Amino acid sequence: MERLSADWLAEIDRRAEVYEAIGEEAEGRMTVIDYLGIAALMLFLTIGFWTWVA
Amino acid sequence: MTTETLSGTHMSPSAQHASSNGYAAAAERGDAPLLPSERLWGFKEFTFANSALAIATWAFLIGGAVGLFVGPKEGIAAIVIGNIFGVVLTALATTVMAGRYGVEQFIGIRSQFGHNGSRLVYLLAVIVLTMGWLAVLAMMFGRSIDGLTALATGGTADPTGIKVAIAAVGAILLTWYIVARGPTSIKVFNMIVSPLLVLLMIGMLWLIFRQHSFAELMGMEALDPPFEDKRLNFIIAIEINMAAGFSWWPYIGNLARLTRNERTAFWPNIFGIFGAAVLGEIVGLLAAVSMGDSDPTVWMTQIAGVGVGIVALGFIAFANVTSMANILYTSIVGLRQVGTAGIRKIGWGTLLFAFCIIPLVLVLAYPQMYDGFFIFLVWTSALNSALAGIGIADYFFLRRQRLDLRALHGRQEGGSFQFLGGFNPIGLFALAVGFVIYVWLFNPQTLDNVTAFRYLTASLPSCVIAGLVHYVLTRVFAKGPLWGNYPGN
Repeated sequence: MERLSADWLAEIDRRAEVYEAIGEEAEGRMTVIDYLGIAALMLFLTIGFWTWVA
Repeated sequence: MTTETLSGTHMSPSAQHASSNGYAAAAERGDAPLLPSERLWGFKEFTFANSALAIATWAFLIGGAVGLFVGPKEGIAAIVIGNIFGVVLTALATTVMAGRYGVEQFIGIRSQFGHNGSRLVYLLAVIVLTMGWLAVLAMMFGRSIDGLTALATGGTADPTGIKVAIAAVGAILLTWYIVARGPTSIKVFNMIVSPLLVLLMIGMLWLIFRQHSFAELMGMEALDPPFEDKRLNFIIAIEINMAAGFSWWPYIGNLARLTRNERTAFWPNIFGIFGAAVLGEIVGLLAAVSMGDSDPTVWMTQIAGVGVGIVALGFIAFANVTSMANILYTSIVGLRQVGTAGIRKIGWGTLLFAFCIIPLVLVLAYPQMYDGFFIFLVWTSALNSALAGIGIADYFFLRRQRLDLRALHGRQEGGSFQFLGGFNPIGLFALAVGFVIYVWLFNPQTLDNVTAFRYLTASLPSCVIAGLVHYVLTRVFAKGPLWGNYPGN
């Protein structure tokens, strides 16, 4: 399949349109809760293990 | 009836149907973004897949290296703290973008470094890392075979002898042969090796705890601490583990694009890669410190006795070839993606062999690399930590999580990621700044460090400063449609 042929670019267009149609509210998006959760996990593990060896 | 697309071209339904399989295959290879309907992995599948990737023989090596600097108690803390930072920052930089858009990682980073810049990053980050690991794992294979024959014959192992070199060369050639046969043979090896490695780790833990209580183990000292200052040794141990976490940067984005959404792309890294790596490294650490040697091919013979030792070493040798096949295959597939037309014309087997030449030279000319492998690992973090910082700054703060898929996959000359001749000097400058900051804070070769390293590590400042430099310079200088087309610039 030739990269950058007209068919190929049309296919990229089609795929890009699918993502544009999905928009910002798709299922499974990372939210503030996810980012806070990961920050809390990092903090908990770091402080917990640092305190353990101190 | 035809379908009109944004580029103005028309496709008949029959043409669409005939080509849909070809496009799906091309998307799977990374040429186009994968659509949500084409993605294979849910949460469980991705957790299993990246656990299998993380449970590899290098975990024993990293755990053993940590035991050189600190005892088991500090070592476990260093493994957890270092890996959580390394894995989370790497996953934020690579997997969220891949999970949202299904975009191949090195096509995705055209938005950060330009289309030729992403090739340069591939060369620095993937090829150097993979060649180094190929050499180290081949030497581990050689030492396993040497230890195994010594155990079987009652002789003495010679880790730098000619037998090890010949076996290491044989391991690389065997890996080349396996990968040249295609991915199916690798998949078969993976399905056998990963579950057996988990069993081996559990068996090793059982053997260690049969000989020592938990309290005894936690009271043991480091094998060869380089400094009298215990805090400094602890920070170096954390740095080694951060390097291990950041070393996933070249690989996990392209796995995450096979997942169904952002959350599924991100969270399994914490359960899979972080969890599995921590387990393997803790086994390596406890075994190394309790047996008095950081080399898994040595402690495995001591911990398990002759019979079990022979079986374990044979299995470790086999598992090393599997790990080598995985990273070699992934790297060459990527190389063909980012490579020039000339590289894509080279035959699969020939390209694989060309890639193996430097690892072959390393195992023959520089066998000392095995004992100081963590130095090589930490060097890679000087680059990977900066790459993670730039990735986070670019995707989350500059582009606000929006990628132009047409610009990424279409014609690059004259496109949004043209920059200067296909290189984004801002991204590359930020990468260089991150690298220099790292080496100024902590020189992996000599372990020389400045006071700030004892409080900040080297990877974290490198990651943050590279990200900041990229953000500020992009806001100030990257203007216009050929300079990344940043929103708000």
